[in-house]
Amino acid sequence: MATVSDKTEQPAILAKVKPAPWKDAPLVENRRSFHWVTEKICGIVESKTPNWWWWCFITALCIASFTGMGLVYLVSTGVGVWGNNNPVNWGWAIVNFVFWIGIGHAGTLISAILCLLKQKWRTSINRASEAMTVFAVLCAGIFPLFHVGRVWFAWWLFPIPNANAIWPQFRSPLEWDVFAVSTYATVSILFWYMGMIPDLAVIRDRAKETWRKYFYGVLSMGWRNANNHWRNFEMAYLLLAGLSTPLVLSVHTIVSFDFAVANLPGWHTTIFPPYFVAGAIFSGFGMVLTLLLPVRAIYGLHDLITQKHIDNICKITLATGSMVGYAYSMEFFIAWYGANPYEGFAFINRAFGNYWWSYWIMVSCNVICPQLFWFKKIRENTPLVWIISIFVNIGMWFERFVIANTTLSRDFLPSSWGYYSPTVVDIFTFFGTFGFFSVLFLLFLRFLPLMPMAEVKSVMPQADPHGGKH
Amino acid sequence: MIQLSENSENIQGKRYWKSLDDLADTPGFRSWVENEFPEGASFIDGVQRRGFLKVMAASFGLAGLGMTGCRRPEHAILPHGRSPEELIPGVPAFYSSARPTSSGFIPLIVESHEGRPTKIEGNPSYAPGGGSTDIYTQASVLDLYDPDRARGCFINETESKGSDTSSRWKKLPSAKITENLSQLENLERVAILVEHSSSSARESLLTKLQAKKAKVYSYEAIDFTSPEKGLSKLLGLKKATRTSPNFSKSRKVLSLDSDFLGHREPNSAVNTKQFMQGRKVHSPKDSKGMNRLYSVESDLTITGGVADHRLRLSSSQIEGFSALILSKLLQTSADKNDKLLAHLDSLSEGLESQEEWASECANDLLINSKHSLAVAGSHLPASVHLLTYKINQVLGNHGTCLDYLQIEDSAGDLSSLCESLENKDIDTLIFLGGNPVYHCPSIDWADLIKSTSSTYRLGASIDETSQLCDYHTGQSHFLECWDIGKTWTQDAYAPTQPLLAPIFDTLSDLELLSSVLGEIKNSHDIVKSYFDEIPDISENFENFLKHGVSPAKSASLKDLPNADTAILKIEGDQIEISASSLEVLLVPDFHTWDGQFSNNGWMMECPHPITKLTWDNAILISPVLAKQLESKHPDLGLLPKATMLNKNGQIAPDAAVFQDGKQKAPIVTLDVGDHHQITAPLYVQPGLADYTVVSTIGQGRSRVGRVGSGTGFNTCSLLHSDSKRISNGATIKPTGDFHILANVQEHWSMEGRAIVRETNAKYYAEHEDFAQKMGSESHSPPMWGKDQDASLAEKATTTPRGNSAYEHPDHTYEHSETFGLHQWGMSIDLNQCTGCSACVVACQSENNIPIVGKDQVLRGREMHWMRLDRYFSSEERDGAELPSDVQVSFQGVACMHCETAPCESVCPVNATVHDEEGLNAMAYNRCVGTRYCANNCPYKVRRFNFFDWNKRDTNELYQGPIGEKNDSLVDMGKNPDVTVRMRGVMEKCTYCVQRIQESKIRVKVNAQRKAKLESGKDGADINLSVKDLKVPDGTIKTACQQVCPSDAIAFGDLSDPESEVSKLKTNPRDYSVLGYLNTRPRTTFLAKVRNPNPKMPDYTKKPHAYREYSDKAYPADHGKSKKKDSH
Repeated sequence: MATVSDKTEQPAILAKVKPAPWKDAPLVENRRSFHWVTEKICGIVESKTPNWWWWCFITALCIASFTGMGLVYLVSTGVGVWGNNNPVNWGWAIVNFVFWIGIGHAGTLISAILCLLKQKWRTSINRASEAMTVFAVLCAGIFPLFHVGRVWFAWWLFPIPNANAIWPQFRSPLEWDVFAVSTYATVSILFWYMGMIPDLAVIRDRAKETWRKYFYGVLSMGWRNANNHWRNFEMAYLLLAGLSTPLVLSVHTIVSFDFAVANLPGWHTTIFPPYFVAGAIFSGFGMVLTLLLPVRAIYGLHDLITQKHIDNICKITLATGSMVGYAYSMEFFIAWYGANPYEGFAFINRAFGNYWWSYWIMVSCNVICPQLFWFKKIRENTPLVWIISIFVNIGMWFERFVIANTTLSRDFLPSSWGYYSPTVVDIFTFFGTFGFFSVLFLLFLRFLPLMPMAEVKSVMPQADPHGGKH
Repeated sequence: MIQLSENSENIQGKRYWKSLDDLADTPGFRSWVENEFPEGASFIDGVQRRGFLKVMAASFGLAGLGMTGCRRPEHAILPHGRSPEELIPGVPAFYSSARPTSSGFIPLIVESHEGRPTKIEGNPSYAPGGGSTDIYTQASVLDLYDPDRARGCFINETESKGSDTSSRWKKLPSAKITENLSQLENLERVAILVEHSSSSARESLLTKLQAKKAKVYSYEAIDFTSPEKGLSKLLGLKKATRTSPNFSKSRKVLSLDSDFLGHREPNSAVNTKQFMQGRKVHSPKDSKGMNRLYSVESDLTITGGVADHRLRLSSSQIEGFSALILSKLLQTSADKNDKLLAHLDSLSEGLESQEEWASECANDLLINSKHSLAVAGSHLPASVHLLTYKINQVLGNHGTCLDYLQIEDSAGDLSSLCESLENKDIDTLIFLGGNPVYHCPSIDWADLIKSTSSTYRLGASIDETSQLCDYHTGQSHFLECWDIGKTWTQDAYAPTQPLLAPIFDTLSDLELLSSVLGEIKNSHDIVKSYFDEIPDISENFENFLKHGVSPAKSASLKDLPNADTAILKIEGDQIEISASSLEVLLVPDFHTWDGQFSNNGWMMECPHPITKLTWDNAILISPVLAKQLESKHPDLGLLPKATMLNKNGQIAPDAAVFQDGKQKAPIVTLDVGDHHQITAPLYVQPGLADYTVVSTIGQGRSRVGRVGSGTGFNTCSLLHSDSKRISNGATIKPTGDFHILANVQEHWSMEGRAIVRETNAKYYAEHEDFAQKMGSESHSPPMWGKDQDASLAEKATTTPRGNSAYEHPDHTYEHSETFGLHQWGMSIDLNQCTGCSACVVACQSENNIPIVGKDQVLRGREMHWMRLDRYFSSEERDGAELPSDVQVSFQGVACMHCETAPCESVCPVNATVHDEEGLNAMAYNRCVGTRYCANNCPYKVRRFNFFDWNKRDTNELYQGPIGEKNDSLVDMGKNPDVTVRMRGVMEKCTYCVQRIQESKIRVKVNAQRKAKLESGKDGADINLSVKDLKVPDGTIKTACQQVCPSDAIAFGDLSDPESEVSKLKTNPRDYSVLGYLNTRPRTTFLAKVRNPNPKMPDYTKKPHAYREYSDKAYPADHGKSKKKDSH
């Protein structure tokens, strides 16, 4: 933090000007103590399971079973139970994959990039966001795995030495996806878990029941709060943050290659990587808002997740939403400027063709909705922020739908133009993944520390008794 | 007319014939005859593959003992102690045969794998057909394996006749039926109703029966003989007069509502072969000699699609129009007959607006007299045929471009049968084939039949007619029995030779008829003894079977009678045709013909070439009528609401309302008179005469197998008793219901994209390379860099460096060990393609392509490897309006085998890879089914197995593992050389790789054998030269190429500059579709050239498709080019 000292020499021209010190809002409000933080976070895990949790958990389990049933039917009968057809060979499966993978971006961005950028406000939201990332990637993984015609041979995508001496094809973006997504999932899980170790140790130390002692004992891997533990921990954390940072950019870049490397009008564009990354961050932050606002309300975490946090997330959403909007308009410009009639048609068709409604849902949710965040009043209206965040999620799902389907349904030869609509199985399988996600997130809320206690404490005023004057 | 092809014997390794001839008198042969239809044959009922193979193995075993007959006696199961002669497991045998149809015998070569016929080809020894066939013949092999065939003979055990008796059929040995029939005593009281056939053997049996006073009647719903009889009657001739056109000699053709290239007229494959030869254009020089087709028609047929000038006119007006043409012709001739002219003028009243068209057309015909031709549709009244006769006579075409054949026909017609039945003159009624109960709902069959004591039915399956009969005799498929007959043009005899013993206990029509004569004989003996009686065949039976055809003498009309008096007797009825009094034209259904292919999945799923409908028929109406109906009944939802894209000219409107990609068609009732009424969905078809509605006969059968049940709409009630198919005074009334039609092509316009490139002959003569100047690649920055000027073939087979900075491996033959010996490529001449769709079914038959059922077609999952894209283009595009006058362009699209294939680079598991001979190979076993390849294929030719199509019935697909398995009978027709794909894998055209491999192996084996003989060295030491291993050009024919009647497809080795395909690829008309993508496809197209007459009122300087392209590609010149191009 920059400090102003009277002793330093002032340039003459500024003699009369004395900038007022910028007062940052505190990251933990109401002058809470360290003990309060520990009690608050551990209390969530240690208290009796609340009724609402059970209701939510059972409902989520039921919803998740839709995915299970959908997949059993799919594998036993054939991909035909979905709505895919000849011009539109991908349909919802890939839309859902990109959607979930996109959501998985905010967590790592918050924990890695904001960590490197020393954004202290990240501390109270990074754990939940990372959990969200991990679970979203798990949901995302279902779709590319099960969309293949013969799931039982999906392992052929991995470079495993085999008797046939056939290797995967390394030129295919789907192959890159395999590496990108699995690396991302591994690093995200590591990062998430490693960050949790000190907190798990706290819960272990406070545990009374035997199972808790063992459960958290094993998970905390012998953490003793020793100095060298902390030293190693912080170095490892930094290294993982450094490792994850390019991954945030690479995963969605590679996912965008699934489209950009293909030669179809509307897919084959160089704008896709940055545009997809911006979109992914946009949707990820949307989902962070969607998840954390209820959690904050239910557990009374207003002192830890403050208006400042919400403000910041809203602003990032606004920024990335505008980037996405810029990308949409730039796509049109290039399609016109490139003078390729097939490209040109693909974009006019997006806006006014057979799926025009999905395009305009996308534009209103992704470009227009977040513009409301320019207004402080709206950012301070938590219910409204939450509703807008839902719109952002919807909009981003439709963005992928628009990209995947408008292009495929009307490509080069008008003779093969078709129309895609999902079946009940498509809808239920996708709907079920929200249940799956919720099951995992509820388990996380119940059994794992929601926030990194040590990190939160480190950004509290008490952590810096000298007021940063050293 | 017939010429025997000289090469027929030189084709390596193929055998066409088998003969029993010289064994006929031995005792061994006699015992074989007794065993011909052993009782035990019925044990293979509900055939299992194993059982079937056992039986076949046994027969082959015996064949080795010296029996060389193609049907072998079945005694016991014997292992091959010594391999039977001529049988190499895995190597197919080829036999000559012929398919009997109502439009003549079609000479064939049938491929047989271990005793199972799998693929039918035309017999190249029959020169007019030249090895091609029509679509139905291609599909007919599937009927042999129809799971709903009558599996034997049955007796109807219902007490009361006439009621629906579907569950009351009890099996009966066929010998019992023949025994019953042979004991019939009073033949005078026996009536036989036969379907039309050109079988000479059947004719002779029927004559014998008639001599014994038995009554013979014939009936056919699609009656090709009625114009023949009608014309003879008007001309005062005794025998029927068959017009036999020779299109190869005619330079200008006028088609009067005649679909002579399509399925609606007989002999279409031969017509196509002859006519399309005259449209081969390989240089601007050729374009002068190109033939020209004028088509006047009410329905838009594929013939109209080929036409250079097409006039929409109701079928009822064709009479007036032919009178108009005739009068124009006569006006210029030397001896004017004023009376005749005045009469013709009165006949052509009301056609003033067509005067200019007619007179220019007549002029053009006249300039080419002796080399022109007018043909009339077989559904038209005799008066039109008379006028056409006169037109040809005036033009002097007789003897050069057409012949009139004299046809004997002694059978009575259906009405005389009804009369006899009403008079109770008949005790035993035999229905021999056909399905008259379905076709003639106006006759109260149940009541008529009551007077008979027994009724027999010979039919392939238990259908509507069988339901009323006492006995149903399963009819042997033509590949299971012997027959002999003449082609449609009477120029050749062709033998129907069985390839296997009847799978079930069934009889052929000859066997049944001969038992009525009191002789229980098998069809071989009948045919053999008949053959010995034919005076005009000089060769012996063995050679006859070997060639599969033998020239026949036809009785042609020498002196043409004068038609003037007959023409003066024509009373021109002025029929009102308007929105409130519509003309209805019934045509045979493309899918089912007259209903006989209702249970044939290949035909049902093959898209109609023009409407692109599968599985259904509809009432076709013109856009004008559609608009009027829509304004009267706004909730009809017939025409889609215009979208913003339509209004601003981005794309043309769809022809129908598509809901979620499914065509929603309003169901209407079509009333003709008081009680003739049909209910069917509407389909808006550009190109129709405004107030003619077209529907098809042959769909909506009530008693049909699993494939055809629930498909289509029955229109037979509109069929007149004399098989007349035009009705007038019809009205349309919506029912308020809707029907979903399975249309495989939603969008009809090319949208100005340079997909099918076409121009006019005149423009082509000046701009030979016009096709190269179209498409994005022609004006985009040169993506091929310094290789820009290389030919497409060169671009496809070499690796042009372009401007790329990267080093690529050099794949040319001299530099690489992996570069293949051959470089396969294909060229499709769009100028030759008529859209007949035979290639679609041929490909399906050759490559084990499954059918998926209507529901799956609606979901966009049809599996055809080869599809025919049909585009319409129109002179003016008026926003959201559907045009009435359109030009049709067809384009056959299958895998293009791109050199830089977009599908290959995106497959994550290397399942689709390039082979060294340029094939884009598909390894089914490696495919995991990500479908990325299909997405990235710009031509959308890849097909995905969304379900286990081959394993399950189309109704059971969604049942998954608990669904019922397919009938195993269907599996027996599969081509063993081609993998049957399972669910979850991608498939596509392979250039018939199995045929390529077979030829390569054969060439290599022969080369090795030769080298061994010459050098005396053993196998491994022989070094074969490249020259010896090369497959000679023309040896390999892909299935689509082989069947194509117009030779539109050429396939061969691009690395051989002398091959046909290489030569075609150097033609400036050659272009790649979407060439700008730099996919470098191995399949390229030769641009289409139309040949309009500049003097005609509807002449445009460039075809509509070309103009649409230039308007879109060069919008700045829009106004200019339009002014320049029109008229």
